[in-house]
Parts: sequence; C-alpha cells; structure tokens
Amino acid sequence: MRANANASGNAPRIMVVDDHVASGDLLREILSMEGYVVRVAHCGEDAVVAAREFKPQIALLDVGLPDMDGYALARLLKSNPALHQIRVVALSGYAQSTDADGSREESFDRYLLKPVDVEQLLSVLESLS
Amino acid sequence: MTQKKNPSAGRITDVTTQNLERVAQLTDLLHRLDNLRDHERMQLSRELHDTLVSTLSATKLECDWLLRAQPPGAAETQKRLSRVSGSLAEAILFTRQVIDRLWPAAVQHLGLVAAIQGQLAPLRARWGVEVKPDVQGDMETLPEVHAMTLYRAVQEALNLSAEAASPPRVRLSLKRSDKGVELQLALPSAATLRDLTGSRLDGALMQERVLRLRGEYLLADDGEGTVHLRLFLPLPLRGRGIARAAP
Repeated sequence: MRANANASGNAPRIMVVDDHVASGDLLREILSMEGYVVRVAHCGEDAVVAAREFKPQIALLDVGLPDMDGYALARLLKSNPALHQIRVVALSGYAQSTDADGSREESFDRYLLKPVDVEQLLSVLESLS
Repeated sequence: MTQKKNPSAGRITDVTTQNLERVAQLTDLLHRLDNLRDHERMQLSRELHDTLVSTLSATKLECDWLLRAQPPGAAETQKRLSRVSGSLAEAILFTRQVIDRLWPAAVQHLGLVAAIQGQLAPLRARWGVEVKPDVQGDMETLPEVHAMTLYRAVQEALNLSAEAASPPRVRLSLKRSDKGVELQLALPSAATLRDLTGSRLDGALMQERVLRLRGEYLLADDGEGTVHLRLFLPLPLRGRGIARAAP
C-alpha cells in the first residue's frame, strides 16, 4: 500500500481520464491495489462532470483525449473553485522539454511519458498526496 | 519544269505551349501524389497509434498488474513478468518512433519548437548533452507544411547523430523573418554529407520537400568533423497557422 491517508484518515481520491477503456480500468485496478480511491472517465466532458461530484485530489490525464485537449481540461479543472487544490498529472506519448512552453507547462503539476512506468507513477502520486 | 517541294515545308509546329502545359500537368500530378502519400502516412500513423500502441499499452499495464499481484515468494514469475513488461515498453517506444517518422503529429499537438525540443530530449538522456535551440521569431504560426518540413529536417539529422559513438555537438537555430524561415544545424562528423544528401530515403524526401516549397537546402562540410546544414523556406504572404489537434 503506497497511498498516504490524509489527516481525517481517508485515502486520496484520484481521477483517471483515459479514452482507452482497458488502460483506464487497469490503472484503476493498480491504483486501488495501492489504497487509492479511484474513478475513471473516458473523455473530457465526463471528467468535468465526474470531478464535480467526486472531488479528486489528483487527476491523471491522458493528454490526447478525443473531445478535449488535455491542457484545456487541466485548466478547466483547476479553475473550478471546488477543486482549487487539485494536482494534475499529464500522461503523454510526446517527450517534452521542461521549458518547452511555459503556458502549457503550467497546466500540469507533473508530466509523465507513456508508456506509464507504474513505480514512477506511484512515486509521483505519493509525492503529490 | 516542275519545282521540287521541300517535304518538311509546312509541317513545323511550335510545341512550346504544349510542352509547358504538359510540364504543368506533370507538376500538378506530382503534387497530388505527394499529398496522397502524406495523407496515407498520416492515416497509417493514426491507425498504428489507435490500435497497436493502445493494445500494447494495455497489455503492459495488465502485465504490471500481474507483477504487483504476485505473492512475495514468486520471485521467478516476478522476474519474468518484469522482463515482459520491459519488452512491451520497448515495443511501444519503437512503434511511437515509427509513427513519428510516418507523420510527426507532435508538431500539431505541441507546436514546432516544443516538438523539436522533444526530439532533443534523447540526447540529454543518452549523452547528457543539453541543446538549447536559438529561436528568433514566431514559429507557432508557420504554415503547417513549413513546420513539418523543418521538424523532419531536424528529425533526420538527429537520427544520424544518434548513431554517433561519442556525444554529438549539435547547434540548432531557427530564425523567422519577413522573407521566410531559416534553420541552421551543425552536426558532428558521424552525420556525413553522403548520409544527408540522399543515400537514405528520408534524406532524399527531405530535399524534395524543400524544393517543392521553393526553398534552399545547403550542406557544407567544414573539414573539421562538422557538417553544416542550412535550410531556408520562403513564406507565403499570408501564412496559415498550424491547426493544433489533440494528441
């Protein structure tokens, strides 16, 4: 178990947004095994709706969503006052330099390259939760 | 007395106009074939991404799940699953490289400069070499075909550098002016002039693309182990910006 419970003893809530259903579901299973409470959305619109109710502390976003640019979704989530403390982790197939584009860089707290290295992902989630 | 007639008299035809029309038709056909080839490459890269990469990624996650679900005593199974997971990761990265060579979607998704910087990342990972491109002018509103051509030129050159046995010394600058956009690239000797001038298919295609855009493509060897590439692409009066798509 890698998830750190918060002060009230609750496990951190993570929202996984991935349009590939099998990948999203597998990430949920792996993260649940580590003690996180996980919800999966398969498109940007569903993620926005789910986030209002689920109130995730961390969002794990596939940058390449079918209906919405992952950068736009990250900004949308962060602009919601109810989610002002949300941390957003990008999953992308494209290597990106840390100073490639400041404006887009600001959308995400962390940027992970696909395919996901589970150990690296868990370390990042631990550091953010 | 009967006058002999010149057999060729009256048969002279000016074919200049016909030839010009034929050249125009062939040029048009060439452009259409180029566009068709690019379209096919784009389709193929999308299909590879949406099917093969997605399936491999899901399989790798499945493998990672199995790995984590193993009891502590199952060392041999863990070792083998770990190896399978690593092989799948390599297969995914390789497929992504193929996809990128077919159609560099990163230019559309990230913008030209960020996409080029992404290409430079492996140099940092492998050699610890930090290459900071010198960028002057707005590269994000270049016409898509110009941005793709510049990206591919860098891609091909860096692929050659990646084969170098010692850390490559790469200098890269991109400058935009009213007249056009200029790329200058200095590469180590491992990227030979022969490699860059068409012995490889991608090198030849790159030259073709530059010529199609009425650009200039110059290569020089300084005799000290460095090849200098200069690529200039004139810009149309009103450049169409890159329509950015979701990755």
